[in-house]
Amino acid sequence: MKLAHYIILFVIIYSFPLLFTEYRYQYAKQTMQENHKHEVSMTTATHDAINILRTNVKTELENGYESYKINPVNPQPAFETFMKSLSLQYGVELDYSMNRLARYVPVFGIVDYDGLLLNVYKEYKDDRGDKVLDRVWLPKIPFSYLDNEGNIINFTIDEEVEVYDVELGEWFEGTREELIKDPEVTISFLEDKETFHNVRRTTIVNTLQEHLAYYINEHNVYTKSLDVTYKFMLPYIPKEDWYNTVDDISILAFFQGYPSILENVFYQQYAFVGTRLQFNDRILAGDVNGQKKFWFESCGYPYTAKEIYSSKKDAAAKGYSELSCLNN
Amino acid sequence: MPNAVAKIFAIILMVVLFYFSTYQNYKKEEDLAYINTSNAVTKFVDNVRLKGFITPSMYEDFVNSLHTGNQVLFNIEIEHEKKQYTPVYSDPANPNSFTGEYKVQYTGIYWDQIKKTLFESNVPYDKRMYKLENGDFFNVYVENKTKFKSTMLFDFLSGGAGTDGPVIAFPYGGMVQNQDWNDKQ
Repeated sequence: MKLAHYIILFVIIYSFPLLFTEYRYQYAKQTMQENHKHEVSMTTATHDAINILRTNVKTELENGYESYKINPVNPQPAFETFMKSLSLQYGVELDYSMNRLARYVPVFGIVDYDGLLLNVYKEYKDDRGDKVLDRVWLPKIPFSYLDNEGNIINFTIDEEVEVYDVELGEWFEGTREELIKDPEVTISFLEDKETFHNVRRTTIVNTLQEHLAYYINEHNVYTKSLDVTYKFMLPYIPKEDWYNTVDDISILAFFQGYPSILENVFYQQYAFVGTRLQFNDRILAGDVNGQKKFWFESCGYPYTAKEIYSSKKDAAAKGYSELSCLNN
Repeated sequence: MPNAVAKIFAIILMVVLFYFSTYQNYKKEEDLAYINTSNAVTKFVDNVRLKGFITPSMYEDFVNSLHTGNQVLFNIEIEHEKKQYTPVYSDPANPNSFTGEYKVQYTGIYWDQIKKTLFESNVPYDKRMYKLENGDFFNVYVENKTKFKSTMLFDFLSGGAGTDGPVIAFPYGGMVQNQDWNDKQ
């Protein structure tokens, strides 16, 4: 063998692992980039949607701790914001292309105070009697539970419940404690706080799982007419994530099967986003040892307040500096 | 003359291997550029979205960080979609024809207009600020304007078989969530 032969042999043997590694690397890189991109997109889109949800309750009752939670959410603007934000991430601008993108969102759900709101594709008849396939909001699905005695209990995301007492044949509303004190209502189920909350959680999670799985599956019926070749399924979601949804108003959005650059690789992503109640603590300002200071009311400082502000900014603008009670 | 054939073949293989490794090296540059781009864009957009304003220094930082360590230049498209509520009149000329409804519309404001506030105004540099409002949309689209070395090499070797599209195209945007105009003074 001459030197040339050795070179050929070397190159041939050397190229196989080289090309293989190269292929694997490209694949891994692409997947990672796509994943990252989709994740950022979904996060941004759902955050934007939840922000709209927060401001779009009935405006006159918007502020304040008590009013917020029990107000009905206005789901449509939230969904529109979600779609608009999502389409920005993919450089989609026209209404038509946004509509195409929406086909990969089988279900957009909002866990409202007392029920689940779902936005899905449905076939319905329009004013002229023609069949239309479009996104619609389904009627609110309550978190209902039937106890052993046959009473119906509609849970909410906190202690408030709506119960149907079979013996009396009447509906009652109120928090769990109120209903226990009520001499008329005789539902033994409400007595134990522990079981009540356990059952509440499981009921909400079960309701969510059942309906999401059903409607995501139902989306497959329409995919042919929507020009989507992907089999939609409810992705595996860890238990933790489910239980995170039960105590607050949240958004559940699924974005699946979006074709990416890598052929045959489809994207599955779900996003849960919870809202947080607005933190409303008054800011008191006054003289502390001859200096102008402001502090949160919840700190419980004994100083006498001269003025009340709603934000730190306002207080600082009037010459008060902060007296913090955190981390002390 | 099997020996001569083998020699030529060996040389060709070596040349191919040489180009392959060079090409791979240039490809890595592309990967780094992608990471850099995505970082710079997400940072800038999130900054604007969460603060609700653009200052000249924010924009300059963004452009600087986008071009740091990169051999290519980028096209940057910035768009501010202003949310507008328009009352619906059935006859625009007649004020009595108000239908009691309103429409939400978005007006696109592009970099050419934003630039005027940021770089062509009489306000001192420190005080210049382009303001956005809650509910507006802000998005940035970045793509490479000049070619990467890897693209050039590929085009050279393949006789221009590659596509002319941008290698890095990164759209990102979202809703503006704050209007902290007074924080920066």
